[in-house]
Amino acid sequence: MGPADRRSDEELVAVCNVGDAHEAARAFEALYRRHRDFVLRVARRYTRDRELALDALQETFAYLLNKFPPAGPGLTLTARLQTLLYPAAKNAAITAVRKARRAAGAGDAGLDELSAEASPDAEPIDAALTALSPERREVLTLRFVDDLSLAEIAAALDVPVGTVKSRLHLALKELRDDPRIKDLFDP
Amino acid sequence: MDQTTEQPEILPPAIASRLRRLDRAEAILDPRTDRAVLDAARSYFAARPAAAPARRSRWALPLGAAAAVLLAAVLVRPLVFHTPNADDVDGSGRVDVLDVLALARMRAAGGDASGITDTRIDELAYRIVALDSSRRAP
Repeated sequence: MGPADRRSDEELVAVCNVGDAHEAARAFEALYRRHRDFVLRVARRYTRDRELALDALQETFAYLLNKFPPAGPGLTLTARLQTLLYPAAKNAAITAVRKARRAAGAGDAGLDELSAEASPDAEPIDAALTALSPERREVLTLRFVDDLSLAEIAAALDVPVGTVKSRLHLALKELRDDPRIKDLFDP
Repeated sequence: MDQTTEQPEILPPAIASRLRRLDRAEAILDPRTDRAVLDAARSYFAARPAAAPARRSRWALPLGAAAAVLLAAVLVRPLVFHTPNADDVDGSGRVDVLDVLALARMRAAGGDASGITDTRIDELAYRIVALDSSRRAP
């Protein structure tokens, strides 16, 4: 693998839209290598399974690929690419889990929620984090792990910015009020 | 609540760090998946029609018209008209199709700032053709 491509996402997307076969494939590879880890992280959040997460990774980039000609109309980035990839990865992960559960004869309950695996003797921080509602933990993770802005989170989740602010505020308040980790918030 | 400004939210470093570690519990990179995705991309783009031809310059039409006039004039002859006037663009002392080409090149080089319009180029070209017809008339 060569050095990382220095072109911006916007430039790479433009080449995927109109470049010749070789240029477009190279630009797409650069996009893939740049965003693969992010997509995998998102997929793992919703699958907690290596193979299913890898399936979701493939599905997510197949979705992105089909945005470009000849099958797609072309892609215009109006926000960071992560805001497009996040819902695609989340949906692909949920679909992968759903298929696996159906194959195993299980139901669909809780599919669209972040996985939580807190054990009774989990560390206080883990216990507090897993006690958050999936929606609040999702916003917290997008903000502090994926480093998305509030507007980008809103775009990724397709909700108003005010909703993102509210969820983030409540998540932080819940953590701050949790007696197990309350001390961490006090200087 | 203001929907556009972002207030700084503070998450204690210990919690942020734990959140990141929970999220990145395991490296699951797989070369086979990389290959599958990138092979799919190559196949996908290979189906794309050949690259579109380069965009035509806005001067292609006037230059083409001038070239056509030159060709027509060479075939019809005579090329030279001894009519000294402002249309003698190249200063050769004659007004001929070379003046049309010179005019078109000046416009191509200077753009709108040259003050030369497509209409003027067309008029000169057609005038030369008309002159040629009048000389051949009995």
